Amino acid sequence: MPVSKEYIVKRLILLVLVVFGVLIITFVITRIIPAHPELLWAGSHPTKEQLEKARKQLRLDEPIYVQLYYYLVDFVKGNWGVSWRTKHPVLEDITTALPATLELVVVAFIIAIIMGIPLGALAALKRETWIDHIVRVVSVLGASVPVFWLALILQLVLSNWLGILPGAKRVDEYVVIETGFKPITGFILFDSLVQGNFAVFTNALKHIILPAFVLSMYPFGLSARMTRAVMSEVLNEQYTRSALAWGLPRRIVIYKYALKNALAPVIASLGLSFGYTIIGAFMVELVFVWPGLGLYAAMALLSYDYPAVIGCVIVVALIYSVINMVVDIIHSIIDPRVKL
Amino acid sequence: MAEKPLVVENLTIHYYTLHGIVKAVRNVSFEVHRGESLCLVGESGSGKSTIGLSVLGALPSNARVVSGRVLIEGTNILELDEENLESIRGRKVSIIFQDPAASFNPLFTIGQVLSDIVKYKLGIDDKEEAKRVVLKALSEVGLPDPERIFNSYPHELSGGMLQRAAIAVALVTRPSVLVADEPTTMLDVTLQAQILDLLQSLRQKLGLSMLFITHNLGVAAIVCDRVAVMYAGSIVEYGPTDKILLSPKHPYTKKLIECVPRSSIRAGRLKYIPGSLPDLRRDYPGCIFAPRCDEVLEECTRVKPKLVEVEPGHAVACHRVLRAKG
Repeated sequence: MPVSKEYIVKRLILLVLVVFGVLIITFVITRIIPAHPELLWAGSHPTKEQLEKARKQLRLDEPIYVQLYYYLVDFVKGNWGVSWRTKHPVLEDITTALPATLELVVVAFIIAIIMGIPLGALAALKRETWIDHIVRVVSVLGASVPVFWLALILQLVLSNWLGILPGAKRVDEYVVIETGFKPITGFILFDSLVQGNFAVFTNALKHIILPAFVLSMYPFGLSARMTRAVMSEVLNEQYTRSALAWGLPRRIVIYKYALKNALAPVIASLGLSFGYTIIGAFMVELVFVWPGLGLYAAMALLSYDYPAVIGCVIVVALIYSVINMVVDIIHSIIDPRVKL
Repeated sequence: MAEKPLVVENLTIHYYTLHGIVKAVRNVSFEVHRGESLCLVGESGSGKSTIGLSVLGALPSNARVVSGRVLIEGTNILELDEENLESIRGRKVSIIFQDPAASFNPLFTIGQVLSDIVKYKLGIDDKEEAKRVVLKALSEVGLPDPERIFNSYPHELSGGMLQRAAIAVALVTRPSVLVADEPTTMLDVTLQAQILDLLQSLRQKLGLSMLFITHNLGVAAIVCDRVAVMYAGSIVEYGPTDKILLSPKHPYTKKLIECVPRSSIRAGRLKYIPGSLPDLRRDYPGCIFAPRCDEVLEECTRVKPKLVEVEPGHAVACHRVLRAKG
């Protein structure tokens, strides 16, 4: 195993520090924005007294460091505050929304990797041919097309006009009710598969295709372009030319040897974009009425819902840190020169 | 087998670059006999490495073989498709490159690479059997503790060990022709001698025909039976090694030998050949070395000199030499 225990411990300590730092920065920023969250808390047409009471309840009348102190104490206890918008505990909201988003993003990345890496490798092998040109155009389009536009168009054509795929929500309620499906983890695809509930599974699978496809466009373009670039480089390396000159079959040299060299940088870039997509998915979630974290975070921002905003930022920081760690570990497994 | 291991006939190779067509190899012919080692000696850019790659059919994609044949045991490898080339590479002809560290993929152990070669070139599918063959090949090239080398990644080994491993890779399939493209240039002087010794003994043991490419006349003197001196894509002189080194005929060969630094004359200034390599994109009607030659005759700039034997097995392409001979 190329990864040492000390390394994992070190990374975990670092992770705590990062999350703590992110928490403080986000907290301070949300408090210094000139906004009046008490208006939201107190409901419509509040009286002066009601507003004053709301400010007291939200501790907005205290100095910022006192507010931070109370927040931290609660945070460590697992109480991330109550969302000012939904009036639910933030942690509860997030644990409902996060699986929906993670499921969507994971499926999107599976699509992106399955399409992107082989196409990128193919383009590198057939450099300057029509195959290469098509892959390049498609990957640039994929990386640069606005997701909300693509989401709306696909929803309009495939769902509204042709009726091939459902265009909203994660699963049809009637299927859930008919089959008596009870989610455990919140990952519907996973839960239904484990429970052997194929009616819900296929229904959820149909629902996830469109949003996941739209969301996969950016990581698809990214992985295709990265793979093409790195692969072209690797194919020109002396060790690739040596292997061919020694008489190793071309397919072995390319698919066993060169592809492994190209993999590490591609995985690193995909890892970064994974973290970004968790929140960036909100436009797709909005179009497809997907009750995910991106949508929740966007709504929280729009309504000055500070506890929810901080909660979302922390979760994303956590996911980023974990993914970076995983990417580093994968890198050290692929490349024996990297010792962690 | 009466076929000669390696024959190169009238080989002309051009590179298509952004700056024009570079005529890198110009009508070169030579042959290597069974068990013999022939040195191609010349400066950088003289086309010697291009010839080395063409012997494996492994030219870069921007190179075009304009004319000529490369016969390995009678088969013209320049006419083969990729599949047939693959089967000749390794089995009939193999190569050792200049930079052993760059020759091995950093993500795979020496054992993985060698096992794949044994698997795909010798058809040994059984893992145990393959490993036995590999370990034998590693000890054959004088590597101590083959088991450790087998499980080592390239970055864990020294340059000398890697070059030995590269020799094992090239020879495990028992080719009849070995191209050694400056195999000692990147190594320390002390290691150079060891690697050259190793190559010599393996050549004798396996009856290898070797095409040895070097810019170092000292190395050529140790390893080679015959030397072909290349200048700007052409062979200007060839012959037995001692003849070339002790009584060179061509003005370029003479100057090349004068340029070899000697530790005994450290006080003296290093010699060099004035001028630089000619522009290889151009055609030259006369002798291509004429612009840098001290002994130019009038016809040198007009007529291309032919390689003519001045004594058995020793040929020179120089008007002055031929005139002196009559």
